[in-house]
Amino acid sequence: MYAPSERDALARTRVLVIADVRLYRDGLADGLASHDRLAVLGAVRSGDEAMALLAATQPDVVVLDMAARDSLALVRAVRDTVPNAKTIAFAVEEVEHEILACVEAGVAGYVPCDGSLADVVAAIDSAMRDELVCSPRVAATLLRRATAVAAAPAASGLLTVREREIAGCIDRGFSNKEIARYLHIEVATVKNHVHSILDKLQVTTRAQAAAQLRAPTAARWRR
Amino acid sequence: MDRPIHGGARGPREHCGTFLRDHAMRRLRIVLAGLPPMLRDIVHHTIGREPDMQVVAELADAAVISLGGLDVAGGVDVVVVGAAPVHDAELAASILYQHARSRVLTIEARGGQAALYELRPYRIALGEVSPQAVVDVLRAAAVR
Repeated sequence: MYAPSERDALARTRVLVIADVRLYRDGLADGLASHDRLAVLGAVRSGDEAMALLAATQPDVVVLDMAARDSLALVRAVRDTVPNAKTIAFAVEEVEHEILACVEAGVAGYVPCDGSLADVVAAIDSAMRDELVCSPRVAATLLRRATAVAAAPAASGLLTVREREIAGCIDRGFSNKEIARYLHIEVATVKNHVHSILDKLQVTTRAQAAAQLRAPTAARWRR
Repeated sequence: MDRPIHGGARGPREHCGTFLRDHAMRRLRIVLAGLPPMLRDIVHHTIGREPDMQVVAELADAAVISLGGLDVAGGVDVVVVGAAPVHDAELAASILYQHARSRVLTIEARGGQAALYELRPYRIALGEVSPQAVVDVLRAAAVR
């Protein structure tokens, strides 16, 4: 039997804040802590500090400043360390490839660069209900992406897991340099994978590869 | 009424007492201008917890103040503005030209770096002057 204060604490959503800018880190922690239904477990600056606290505290939600260095890698690290935690990315550029990168890394919600503190709270509440607050344009982007992923297996079945990751980046219009940065690998390695993808799909350009991965059914009818 | 900065003819002890009395009665009046929503909320929330401070106005664009469009009854002690580092001095100066008794706190939106701007008397020693030198100095000051 829990005492009332313990019951309250258990009912609250437990939040960890990760932001490298002190004003946002402390300000977000204070602002979120002022909401009765939220309990802020801590506010840390870096991934290293976060990893220690994540394992110890097992938060329900991690609020992460995407302007921080290696933020996408940190999203993946949070997902791997505390699989049940939901990551809310804030200060996200509301452009297609940024949103998709966040979603594919594992965020459960996001707040754009011009978002407010209330938007962060709303994103946390939505994520806890397994819902996503987003603009109609972003919803359409996510639907397009889901369609492409569903259609891709026939062609991408030829590819390795890494090649499929890179093919997905090509489909989103990333350059080799951007893919290397995104996947944390060398540009030369990306080039090797791209050549392999083109060979396996028997196409000569990246655009053709992306088109084939998007529309395998149509490609089969043409054969 | 603006809070007096100098005690004038009053002694230090009297001045100190007056200051504390004024300080207790009157909260610092703060304007937020041109801050991105998240930063605005954080600053507003922080100020809201301080009993001696109050936000008296919020403006989406700091340029309104530069153009003389800020008219707050009771005056303004500090204007907090969001600014890019390369433009913050220019922005602060334009606000101080309109509100010379205020101070301007600029906060760079992305990096959270801040700077405080204020106008201060600037003394240029001229030494012993001739009547003509006085006239020359007046003319130079008018041109500036």
